[in-house]
Amino acid sequence: MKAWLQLLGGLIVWAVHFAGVYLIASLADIAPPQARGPYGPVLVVLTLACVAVAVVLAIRAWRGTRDGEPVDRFRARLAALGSAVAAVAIVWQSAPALAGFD
Amino acid sequence: MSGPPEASETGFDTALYDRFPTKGRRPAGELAELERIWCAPRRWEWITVINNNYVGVYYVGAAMLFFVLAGVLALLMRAQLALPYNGVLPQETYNQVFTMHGTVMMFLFAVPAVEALGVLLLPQMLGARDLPFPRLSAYAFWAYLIGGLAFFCSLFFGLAPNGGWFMYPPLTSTTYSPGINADFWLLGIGFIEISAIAGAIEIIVGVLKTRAPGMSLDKLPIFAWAMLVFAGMIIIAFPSVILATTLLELERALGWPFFDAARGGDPMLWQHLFWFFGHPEVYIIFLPAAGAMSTIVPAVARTPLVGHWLVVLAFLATGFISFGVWAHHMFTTGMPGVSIGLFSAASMAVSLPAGVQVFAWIATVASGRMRFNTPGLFVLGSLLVFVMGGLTGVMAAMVPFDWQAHDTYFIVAHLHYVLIGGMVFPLFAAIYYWTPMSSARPLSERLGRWVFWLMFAGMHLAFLPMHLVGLMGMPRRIYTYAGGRDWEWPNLISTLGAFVFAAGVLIWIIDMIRNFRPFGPKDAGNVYEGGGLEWLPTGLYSTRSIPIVRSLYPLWDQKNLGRDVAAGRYFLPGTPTGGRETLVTSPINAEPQHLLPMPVPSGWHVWAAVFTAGFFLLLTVQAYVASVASGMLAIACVLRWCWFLDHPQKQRTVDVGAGIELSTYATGPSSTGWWAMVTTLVVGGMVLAMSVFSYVFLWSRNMEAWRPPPGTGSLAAAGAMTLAAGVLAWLANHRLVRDARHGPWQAVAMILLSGALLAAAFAVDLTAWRGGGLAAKLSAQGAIVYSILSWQGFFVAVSAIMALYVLLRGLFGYVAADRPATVQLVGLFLGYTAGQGLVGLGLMRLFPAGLS
Repeated sequence: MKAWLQLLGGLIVWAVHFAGVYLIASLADIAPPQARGPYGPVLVVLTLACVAVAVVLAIRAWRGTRDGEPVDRFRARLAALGSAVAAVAIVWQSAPALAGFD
Repeated sequence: MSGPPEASETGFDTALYDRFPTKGRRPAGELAELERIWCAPRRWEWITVINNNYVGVYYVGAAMLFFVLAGVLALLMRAQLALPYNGVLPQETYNQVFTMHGTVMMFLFAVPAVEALGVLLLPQMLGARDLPFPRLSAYAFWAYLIGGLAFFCSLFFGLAPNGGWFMYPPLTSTTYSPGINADFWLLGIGFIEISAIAGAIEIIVGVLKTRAPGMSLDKLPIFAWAMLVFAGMIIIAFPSVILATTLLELERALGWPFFDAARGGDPMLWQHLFWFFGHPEVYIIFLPAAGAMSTIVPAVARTPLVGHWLVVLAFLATGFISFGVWAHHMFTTGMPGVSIGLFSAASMAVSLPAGVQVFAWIATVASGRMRFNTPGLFVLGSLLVFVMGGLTGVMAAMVPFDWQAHDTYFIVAHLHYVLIGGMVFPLFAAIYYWTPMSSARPLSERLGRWVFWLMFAGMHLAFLPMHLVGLMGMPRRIYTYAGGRDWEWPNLISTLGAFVFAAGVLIWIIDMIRNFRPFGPKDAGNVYEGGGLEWLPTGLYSTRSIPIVRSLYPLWDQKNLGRDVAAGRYFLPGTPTGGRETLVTSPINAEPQHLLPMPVPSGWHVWAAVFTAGFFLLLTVQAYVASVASGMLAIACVLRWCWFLDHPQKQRTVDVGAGIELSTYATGPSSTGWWAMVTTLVVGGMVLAMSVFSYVFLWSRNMEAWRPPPGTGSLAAAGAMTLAAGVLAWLANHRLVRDARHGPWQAVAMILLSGALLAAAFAVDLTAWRGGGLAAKLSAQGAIVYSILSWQGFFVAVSAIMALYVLLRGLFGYVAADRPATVQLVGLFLGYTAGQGLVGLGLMRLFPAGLS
C-alpha cells in the first residue's frame, strides 16, 4: 500500500484539491451573498497547502531516483514527475476559481 | 530497461532465479499431461469453455458484431440525412436508431471490445496460464452477449430507447416517455454494467497478481499498464451510472422524484451522475487503445517506445484528471461560474497526458525504421485523426466556444474524430497485429491496405464536413432539415463518406472470413516481430513454462527465451497438482507467492449469465415474478459455482520448478480472492459515495423542504448493532485461525450473528423512517433516503445469503482453520456492509440536522 501511495501521492493530492475546490464553489453558490466572504481565503489556503504537499512529495520522490533497484527508481521517477505536474495542475485549476471569487 | 532481479518484496529469495533456465530434459509425458489438462473443448464444451484463448476470441467477435450492427444503424441515419426532407426513416424510428447507435457503440462495442482484448491478450502477455478467474470472464461474456442481443432486438419491435444515449430526464420521465422504451435502456444496460465490472475485477487482479516472475512494474508491458488503469477507472466510474440508472428507473417505476422538480428533485442530478461516468468513459475506451498503440508502434518501428515511463505516467494522470472534467458537458446548464472555470481548466489539462502519448508515438516512429504495413498504417492514421479530434476538444473546452457549438454537428464531428482516431483505428491495428497470435493464418496485407485507406478516407469524408455544418448551425439529433441553408452538400458528402467507411469494414469482414483460423494446433507466429511474451510459442495452456522476465521487451533482449520456455526450462513446466493452475506473484516486483489452482469448465457460469440477463430483461417488460425467479436462479448458480472454491489441495506445497516449493493455498492480501473482494467493495463504496453526493445535492436544491430525521433512540440502537456486526465480522477470521478445534463453529456463529445484527439494525432504521412519516413518493428527500436505505438493504440481503452459505459450508465440514478464505472474505463483506451502514446512518440522521 505504501508503494502505491508513493506512486500516486501527487495525483491523489490533485484529486483532493479538485474535490475541495468543487465543494467550496458549490457551497459558495448556495450560501447567501453576505456569507460568501470566507470562501476565497479558504480556497487560497487549500491551494497553498496542496501545492506544498505536492512539492514535498516531488522532492522526496526525486531523491529516490538516484539509487536503489531499477523498479524503485522507476517508481520514484513516476512519483516525482507526477507530483510536480500535480503541483502545476493545482495552481492551474485554482486560477479561474480564485478569479471568480474576486 | 534490462537489469538484475530486484530486492525481495515478499521474502522470496530472488537469487533462486539464477537456477533458470534449468538444464537437462524434462520427464517424458509431462507435456502430454499439460495438453490433456488444458485440452480443447468438445461438443457442448464450446459453450462452457473458460480458457481465455476461446473466451477472448468469442468476446472480441461479439464486440465486432455489435460494431457492425451499430454501423448499419449509422448508415440508415446517414441515408436519412443525405437530402433535405428525406423519407427513409420516420421521426420515431430515427430517434430509436440514433439512440441505439450511440448506446450500442458505447456500451456494447467500445467497452466490451477493449475488455475482450484484455481477456484475450493479457494472460499471454503476462506469462500466466490464464487470468485468475476464468469463469468470471466467461460469465461476463455470456451475460453481455445474451443481454446485448436481446437489447438490440428491441429495435425490431419499436421498443428501443429513443431519448438519446445519455437519456436526460425530464425527456425520459414517464410524462414524456410513457412506453417501456426508456426502461429497455435503463434496465437493459444493467447486465452490461455487471459484465464490465466483472471484467474489470478480473483484469485488475490478473495484472497485479498473475505476472511472470521478475516482471516488476518497470517491466510491465505498456498494454498491461493501460489495462490496469482502464479497469481501475471502470471500478470508479461505472458505479455512478449504476446509481443513475437505478434512480431513474425507481422514479419511472415507483414514482420516487429524484429528477422531478415539482416534488423537490432536480434533473441536473442525472447529468452530474451520468457524466461522472460518461466522460471518463471516453478515456476508459481510449486508454486500452493507447496501450495497444504503444505496443504496436515499437514493433512496426522496430525500436523501443520512446519515453516509456512518461507514457505510463500519462496513463495514470489521465486516469485521475478524466474524473475532473465531467461537467464540461454541462456548460450550458447554468452552473456557477466558479465551477465552470474549474471544469474548463481541468478539461484543458487532460489534453496534456494525451499529448505526451502522441509525442512519444511520433518520436518512436521517427527514431525507428517504420514499416508501413497494415498495423503501421492504422497507427499512423490513428495519430492524425486523434490529434484532429483532440484539438477540437480543446476548442470545446473553451466555455464561450462551447456555448456556440453545444448540441450542434460540430460536437458530433469532434466526438467521432476522438473515438475513431482514439479507439477504432487502434483496435483495427490491434486486430491486424495480434491475429497471427490466435489464428493459423495472418490477415491479408493487400486487403488490409484497402481496409485502411477506405476507412481513413471515408471517416474524413463523413466527419470533416460535420464541423462546417455544425458551425453553420445544424443541431444534433434532428431526423430531417429544410433546404436552402447550405447544409445540403456537406450532408450529402458525409453520407457518401459513411458508405466509403462501411466499404472498408466490409472488406475487413471478407478478410476475416478468408483468413481467420482460430483454435488450431498452431498459430501464424510473430509476423510483426514484437518483443512481448505473447509471441512465445504457446498451446492452450499458454506457454509451456513461465519465464523469468528481465526486460521490457523480453523477446528482443533475452536470448533463447522462446526455445527454453518451450523446452520447459522455467517455472511450472508441468502440472504439479495434476490440475489447471498458474503462478501468483506479488504486485510490485512479481515475486512468486503461491500456486493458484484453477477451475475446469462447467455450465454454472453460463446458466448464471443466462439468468442474470433474464432478470434484467424480464424486469424491462414488467414480468416481475418471472424476473425475481430468474434473479434467484442466477444467485443459486453463482453459489453452486462458488461451492467448488476454497478446497485446499492435498499437497500443501509443490515444486514449481528447479526445486522451488510454493504453497497451494493462500489467504489475505497475497491471495487473488482477497484482491477481488476488495475491488468489489470499492464498487460498492463508489455507489455509496455517489449516493452521498446525490443526497447533499438534492438537499442543496431544496433546503427549506428538508424534514428532520427520526429520534436519536433508533439512531443509537441501529448504530450500536451495526458497529457490533462489524466487530464480529472482523473477529470471525481471527477465531478460525487461532483455535483449530473450536474456532470453526465460533467463526460460523460470529458470521451468523453479524448478519443478524446487520439485518436488525437495518430494520430499526427503516422502521424509524417509516414511523416518521417520510414518504418516498412525496419528496426528493424521501426518495433519496429510501434509495440509500434500499442500497443498504441490498447489502444486508447479500450478507444474509453469505452468512447462510458459511453455515452450509460449516455443516459440510468445509469451514476449518486450514481453509480460512471463505470466512475471511465473507467477513470482509460483512465488515464493509457495517461500515456502509454507519455512513448512511451518520449522513441521513446528522446532516443537515447536525449543522443546526
